[in-house]
Amino acid sequence: MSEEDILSNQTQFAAEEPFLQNPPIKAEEQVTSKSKLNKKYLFLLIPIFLLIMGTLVGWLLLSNQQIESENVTTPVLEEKITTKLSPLRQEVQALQQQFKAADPMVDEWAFPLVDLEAPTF
Amino acid sequence: MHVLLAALLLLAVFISPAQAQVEDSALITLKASYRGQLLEYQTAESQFLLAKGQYTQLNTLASLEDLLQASQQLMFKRSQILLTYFKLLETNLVLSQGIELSVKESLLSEIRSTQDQLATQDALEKNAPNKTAVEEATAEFVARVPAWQNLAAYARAVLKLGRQQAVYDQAQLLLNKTNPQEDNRLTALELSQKQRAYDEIMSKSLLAKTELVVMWEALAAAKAESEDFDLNQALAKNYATISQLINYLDEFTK
Repeated sequence: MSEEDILSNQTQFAAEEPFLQNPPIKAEEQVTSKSKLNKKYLFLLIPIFLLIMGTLVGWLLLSNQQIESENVTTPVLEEKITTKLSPLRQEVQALQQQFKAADPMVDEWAFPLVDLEAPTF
Repeated sequence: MHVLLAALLLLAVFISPAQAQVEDSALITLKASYRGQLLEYQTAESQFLLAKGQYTQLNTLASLEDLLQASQQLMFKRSQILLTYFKLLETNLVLSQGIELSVKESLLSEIRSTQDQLATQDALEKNAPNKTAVEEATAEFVARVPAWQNLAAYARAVLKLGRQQAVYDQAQLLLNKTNPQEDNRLTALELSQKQRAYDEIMSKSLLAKTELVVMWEALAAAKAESEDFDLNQALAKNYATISQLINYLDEFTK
């Protein structure tokens, strides 16, 4: 078969045409395109991650400051409360504590849970 | 393992500072000792059951000897627990307020007598030379148990009622201090308002007092006739009355 015959063979041309129009993508090219996508996501993810971390650190610092300020203020408040109470009020409060301890439903002297029968051989 | 558990229990007793302030140190030691003995009893009980199983299976003289020793150990631990329990009741009674002295002394005498019985019982069981002697000693123990349980129930009722009486007595003392008639700073209008509130508190106080008297009488009658000492319902009812009395008192003194 001459070269002219080959070029004019329409059946063969029609069969080969799709391959010529869309050449197959090489595996290496696929890998590089994927890595490009990953890099794009990385550029997006890093700022988001940093933002979340920053928020967390800020929140922790603020909560620590709050706890410290509460610790500082509580004894002062307690002092104020105790100093303001009159002797009579203190006696009433002591009575309330005594009353709580006298709850008849609390049986703190229950008989010991031991086997009171004779051990059988 | 048991030593560790006992140490943890001891720690649990000692780490509550509020309780430690209120309670006598002897009471704390006794409580810790009691809890430790309960743990030791559990160990002795499991050893006894093991020895019993072996004797049933093997039926040899050696396994019988093991069983005898295990049962003596179990009974010894049991007597120890009961002895400490009655010592706890005794110490609580001594420290309690609100109990009439004659009632307290009579009950303390009974508790001390029970402690002597338990000590004798303990010696009997410990020195029993053979199976028959062990069985005799335990039979004596079992015969005495109902009387001990009865005494413990009575002591518990007295302690609970004594606590309630002590709260009432303290409330009464505070009421006497807050009588509006003795406050010269009040105007006529203020005095009439205060007096109405005070009268209401006094009516609650009277109700609580009446209920307490009735309970003490019921307890004494039950003791005399060897009946049950179930005062829980009456105690709960009066506890509610005293609660209202204290709430009123709290409001009145603000």
